Amino acid sequence: MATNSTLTGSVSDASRPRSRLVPVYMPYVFLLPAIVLLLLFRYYPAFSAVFHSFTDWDGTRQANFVGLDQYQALLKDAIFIKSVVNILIYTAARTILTTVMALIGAELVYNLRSYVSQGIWRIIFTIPLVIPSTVVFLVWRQIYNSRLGLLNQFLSAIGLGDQAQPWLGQPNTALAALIMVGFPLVSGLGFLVLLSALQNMPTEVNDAALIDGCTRLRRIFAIDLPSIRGPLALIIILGINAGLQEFTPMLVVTNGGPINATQSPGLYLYQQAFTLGKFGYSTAIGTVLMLMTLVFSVFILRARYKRAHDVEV
Amino acid sequence: MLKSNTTVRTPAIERGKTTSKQAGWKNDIPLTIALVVLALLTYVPFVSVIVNSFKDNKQFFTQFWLPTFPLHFDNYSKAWPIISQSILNSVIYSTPTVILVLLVSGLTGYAFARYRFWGREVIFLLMLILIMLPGILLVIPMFVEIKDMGWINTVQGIVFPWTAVQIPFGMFLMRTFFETLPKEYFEAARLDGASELQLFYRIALPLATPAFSTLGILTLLFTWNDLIWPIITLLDSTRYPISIGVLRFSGSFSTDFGVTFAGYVLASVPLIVVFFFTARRFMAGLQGGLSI
Repeated sequence: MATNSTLTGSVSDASRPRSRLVPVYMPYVFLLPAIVLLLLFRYYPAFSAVFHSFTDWDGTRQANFVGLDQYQALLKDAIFIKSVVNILIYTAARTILTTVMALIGAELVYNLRSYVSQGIWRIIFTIPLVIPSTVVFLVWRQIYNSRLGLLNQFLSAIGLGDQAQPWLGQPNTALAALIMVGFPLVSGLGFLVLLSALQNMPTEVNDAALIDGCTRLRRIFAIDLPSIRGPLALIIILGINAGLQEFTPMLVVTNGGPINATQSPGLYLYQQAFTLGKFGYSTAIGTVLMLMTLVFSVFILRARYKRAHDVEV
Repeated sequence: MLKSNTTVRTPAIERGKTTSKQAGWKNDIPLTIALVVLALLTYVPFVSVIVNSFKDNKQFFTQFWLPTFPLHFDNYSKAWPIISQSILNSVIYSTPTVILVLLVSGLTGYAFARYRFWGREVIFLLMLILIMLPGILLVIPMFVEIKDMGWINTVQGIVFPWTAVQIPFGMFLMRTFFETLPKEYFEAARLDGASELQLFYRIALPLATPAFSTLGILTLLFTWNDLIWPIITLLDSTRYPISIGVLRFSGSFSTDFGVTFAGYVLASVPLIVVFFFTARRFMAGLQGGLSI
């Protein structure tokens, strides 16, 4: 978009004689606060975590080097394996659902002819974003409640009372219920990012397609989707990153149960560290989680840039 | 490479978008119906919480969907003492974090955008790659670190790590924004004798309002919602922020549904108020054209 051209601008900056006036240390002064904060609270903990995954650290005593023992224990840990399977299902389903629903919402609003309605609908789907996420999770836990939950009350009200069930209490429905938390999932950052990407598309292309007799649905797949490839990839990567380390919904809605049906590596890491004091073991879980995140991110980025020629407009 | 555009754009309407849009409002009807259905599904749970927050248990057990009378406003006066301290705490943690994130990201992004110096690209990439780190991995060593610093149960123990979480994304956002500013502004001011620091806070900062509002709002939402870091570093429940504070309703007070729901409503009010006062800037900030 509009940013690339300015990169060359700063190169010519440097060749000008007046840059002599800028003291050499000046940029580093500007960078100093960020460097200090990141070294203290990002780099050091990251290296410490990976390092301690090869030890029997408990957070207080001196840690002993144990090689790959923690990782070997992980491979034999049925709960950990279960949590990885759960989080893969959760992340895949959740990312697809949120992306598709955000896209549907954005396309519906974008295709409205009235700009006033576009603005109003944008506000309507932005407001739920400011409700604290813990409240959202607690509300959904209540929705799934077997006797006094909105879902079962609704099923009884429309005559499907026999379908009512304890959604979070059974291993075969709990994970699916967790995935559907927040349904219909239109309202979110993805909706706003995609809608603004659509609204910033040059209208001439759409007008030309319309004149050529292109249907709305065909236009969405042939023109809209390729044009907003960048924002789409961003939403998918953010969704995968957040999904893989998901912790809060499991803790608040199901606490990993029933019988580990909704256990996630994030929650398991937390429990191993802060209820059992197995810091070495949980940093090993975290390191595996980090590797998973990196692999998926690289995969998405490669798919996004493979044979992609973005047209700057 | 990651990109983001936070510059103010021409509204679509001025760019002649209306040409294809003159077939009339009737074409909007099917779309509007679909949107109404989605909005209903989105809002029914929250409306149900508000309706039921005015009931006592007996009313709630007998009538789930509709409001019942008398309305129990006392649910709110019961819920307020339970949640008020958490709301205040959230403000105490979020405000300095947002200010620090804006300041540090602004400085960093500005340095990357306006200066050429030894190690620029390497330092930039080393910072950017931190976006990919799963935060939950760092929580364990950071807990031990904060404990060794004696920062458990303190405001700074929350604020500085939170700031560090937001800086990689923030400095990237600010860099792309500052690169779009015409360098003539800075040259003119430099000729007039402005110092480097003055260039930053007299010219760059005032122009950066759109990018700052994006970053500020995303940081506010992050700090308001983050649960794991406060739950680990805060041992004293009187210091809990909203994200943990509302959990109290699911524990000892869960037997009184009306009070619980009133607590959920109260916990949601502060940001809704912020939203209504800053709606335009809020949404302009959130749709600052994020892309990769």
